[in-house]
Amino acid sequence: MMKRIFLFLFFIPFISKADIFDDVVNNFKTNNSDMVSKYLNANVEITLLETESLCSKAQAEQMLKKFFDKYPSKNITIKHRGASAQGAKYAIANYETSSGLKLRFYIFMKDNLILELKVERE
Amino acid sequence: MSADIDKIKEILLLKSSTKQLVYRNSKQAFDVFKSEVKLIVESIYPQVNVIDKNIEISVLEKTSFEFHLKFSGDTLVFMMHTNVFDFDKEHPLKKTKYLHKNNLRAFCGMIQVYNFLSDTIKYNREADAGFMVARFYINFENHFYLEGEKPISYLYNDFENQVFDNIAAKKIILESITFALNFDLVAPSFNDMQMITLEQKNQMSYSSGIPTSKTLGFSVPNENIDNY
Repeated sequence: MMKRIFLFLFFIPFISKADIFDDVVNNFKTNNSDMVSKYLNANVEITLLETESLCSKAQAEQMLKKFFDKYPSKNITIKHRGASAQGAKYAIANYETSSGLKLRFYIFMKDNLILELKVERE
Repeated sequence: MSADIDKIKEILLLKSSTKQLVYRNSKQAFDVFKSEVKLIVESIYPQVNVIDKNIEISVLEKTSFEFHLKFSGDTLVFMMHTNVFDFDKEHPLKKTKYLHKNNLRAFCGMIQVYNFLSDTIKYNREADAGFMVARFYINFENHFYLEGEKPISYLYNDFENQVFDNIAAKKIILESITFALNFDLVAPSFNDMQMITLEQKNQMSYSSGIPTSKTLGFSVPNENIDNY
């Protein structure tokens, strides 16, 4: 029992290191637009390659679904991330589609909601 | 002949793939700078606004390769060059072991930070000069090097060991802001400004003010920077 508690305490720092972006990115990896949408703000600034708009959460969900259908992921890796004490944070990730296309993801969140999502060609 | 073509092919493949990698690192670094600027604005704005509502602090994205950080009378303009550069052969970095071991490490993307007066941009005073505060280089290994005004130039000059991250970006931004805030506009002497032609007056009216920059104070149109 003591050993289990010790192991749990040992892993706490590693568990707490994972942040919300890991969950968001995992949902991108599995092309799960429903799970990504739970993080969308009521209004989102969204750029998916050539399409750029400020749209509602429902519209953003639709756009993401179409995007994942067209560009399913093979791999996604977070390259940079940062956060402020006021609850704003961002992540920049490399996204590779199943057809080998390389894209760059940029996500900006405030209070754990996505305010800006940008996907550009590398 | 075939050997020449093979050599060209080899150089082309090696250089092109390295330069593409440099471009990607450079664009990512630029996006990190932009994101860190947004976080800094998020932090500072509420604290300043509560004391003085007239002080404006904002970020403006002009293009994918240019954004502005405006803080009251000053604006820092961040610009990424889309090309990849090598250092001049006389540059001290060219003599380092790091570059000697692999000369592809000298290929760098470039991000420049200029300090403009906010009014220069607001009134589109095209004759005003901006002042370069920092120039950032990044290579295919994500190592970076910083040139700049003192004390910024002392911050990061170990190209061999510096790997770019958001902490470095934040430090460079904060130092650039501090530099701009401490670099005030000084009025030129009365004698230097005593006479102007009607044409110069008209030009000033047209461009909403006297051409102005921090290095020059006011400057009468057509005067050369070397005169100061």
